[in-house]
Parts: sequence; C-alpha cells; structure tokens
Amino acid sequence: MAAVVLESLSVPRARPGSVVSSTPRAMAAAVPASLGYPPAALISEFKGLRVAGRSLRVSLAARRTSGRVSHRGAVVCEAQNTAVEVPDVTKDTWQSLILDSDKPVMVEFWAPWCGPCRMILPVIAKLSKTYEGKLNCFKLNTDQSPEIATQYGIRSIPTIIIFKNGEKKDAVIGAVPESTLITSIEKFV
Amino acid sequence: MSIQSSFAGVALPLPVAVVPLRRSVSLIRAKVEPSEKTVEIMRKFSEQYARRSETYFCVDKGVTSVVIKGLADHKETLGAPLCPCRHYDDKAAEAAQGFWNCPCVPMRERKECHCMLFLTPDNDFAGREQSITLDEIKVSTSNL
Repeated sequence: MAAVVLESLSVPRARPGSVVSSTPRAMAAAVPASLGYPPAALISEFKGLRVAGRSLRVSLAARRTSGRVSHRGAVVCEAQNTAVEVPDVTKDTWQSLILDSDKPVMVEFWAPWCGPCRMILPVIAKLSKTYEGKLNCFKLNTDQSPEIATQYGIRSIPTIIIFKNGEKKDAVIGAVPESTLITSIEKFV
Repeated sequence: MSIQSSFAGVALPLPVAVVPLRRSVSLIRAKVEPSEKTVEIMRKFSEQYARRSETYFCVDKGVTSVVIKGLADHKETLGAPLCPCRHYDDKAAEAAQGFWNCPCVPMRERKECHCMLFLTPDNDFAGREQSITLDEIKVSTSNL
C-alpha cells in the first residue's frame, strides 16, 4: 500500500510549479478499486479544496491509463477562481493532442478580450473533470494560433468543437449553458 | 568556496550566500493592454449606445469590462473597434469594410450582440444598468 502511495507522490513533484494539492487525487487514483480501500479517507484530509462529491470512479479509471497525470489534472490555488485549469493547445501541439488522440476531445476556441469566453471557461473546466478519462478538454487561443481557427472555419467566439478520431464531429457556437454542452458531449463519449 | 576569516586567532570559514535557484514562471501573459484613454472612449461609447438602443449591460460586469477593453484594443491597433468576439482572416480588411465594427450590423438591425455587451431586457443575463465606471473596468479585468 505504502509503495503505491509513494509512487503516485513522485508524479506531481516531477513538474516544477505544480501544486502539491494535486497529490490527493493522484493518491486516491493510484489505489486500485479492486482493493476496496475507501479512497475517501485520503481525500477527506484535504477538505479545503472543492474536491468533495466528485465521482471518484471516473478519476480512478483515468489515472491508471493516463500517463500525463499532472499535466491535465493539476489543481490550481482557489485564489484563481477555478479548481481545475483547462490546458492549452497550440498549432504546434494540435496534431498530437487533438488529431492523434484516442479519446474524443473537446476544444474551446477563445480570444483574450472576449467576454463570454470568460463566462464559459469554468463550465468547460467543470466538464473536463466530470468527463475525465472519457473526454479530453483543451482551449485554443485564436489570437496565438489563428491558422487552426481559420482551418476549422471559426467565426464567432467562443466556439466549442468536439473531435473524434481526428475529425470534427460537432460544433457549439456561443456561450451556451452547461446542459447544451452535455447534450453534445453525450453523443460522442 | 569559503572565505576564511579569523577571530581571536581561530580561522572560521564563512559560508557564502547561495542565491536560491529561481523557478521559471509557468504562466506567461503576453497580452498587451489598451491605453486608458481609449478604454475611456469605448466606455463612454458603450454607455451612450446602451441608452440609445435601450439595452443593458450584463449582470456580470466582468464580461462588459473585457469586451470594452477588447474594443479599445482593436481601436488602437486597427483604427476601428472591431468586434472582439469574432475570428477574422484579415483584421485590417474587416475593420476597413465595417460590417463588424461596433456597433455591428447585427446589433444595429436586430439588437443581437453575441459579445453580451448590449443585452435586451428579456435576456437572462441582462442586468439593470446602462453605466459602468472606469474603476469597475479596471477591477474586474485586473486578474486577467
């Protein structure tokens, strides 16, 4: 048991700047479900974070297969108003993160001075946690990577596109409510 | 490397101060801010146009502030307040053409503002205000 815990502890430490608070989720996830050991006991020590009530089943399945633990699921200090950060994708990482992804991917095309983008970013962050392991979520800055935005015919911002097997499957335009996004996501996960 | 000093004939090695290795900042913000003068111009325009079109600002003034700054940014870089919530292949050409210059044609014709800057009273996100101060703009965009 101790060996399993220690192994997961080393993962977030490897990346400088990552917050230690990512540890509890990694710790909980490293415990195999078959052991029946209640991971809630590990989680409860970190009550300061808004991690309570999350579906642990999803994160358990995710952590075992995902090699990039700290990259996608890093928990950021609450002072920034989001518990989870949606990672960025650029034109350089587009091929590997989106087109070659084995899971469906949801990409939010945003711009720095777009007001509605600010409104839906927490929603995207929340959905990325809800569908962890089943759906990857990224955001793309259209000012920094305009070629990708033009390639996919982005006009109105924000636009959310769901990709599967490297193909654009569905596009949602505008700052829509969470339920609309869930309806779209459910078609592909 | 230690500095030798002596005190009462006894050599004492003094530790050299070690500068802690500086961690690289993981997040770099490359956004350029529009000047306060232009933000003020767009703020006044927004208030005036909201009154004239009988529309209201969003309940979340952060949205309003971000859009106003976006308009100011485009006004400074392109000469015209191009809509910040759209993607363009050629921004300069679009600014010259004028369809998406704020107030854009959809707004002028149908009061449709997808930036959520000017909201009709029936919109779920519409507040009751048609004014916003420069301080409000500064405060709500200070964490960006």
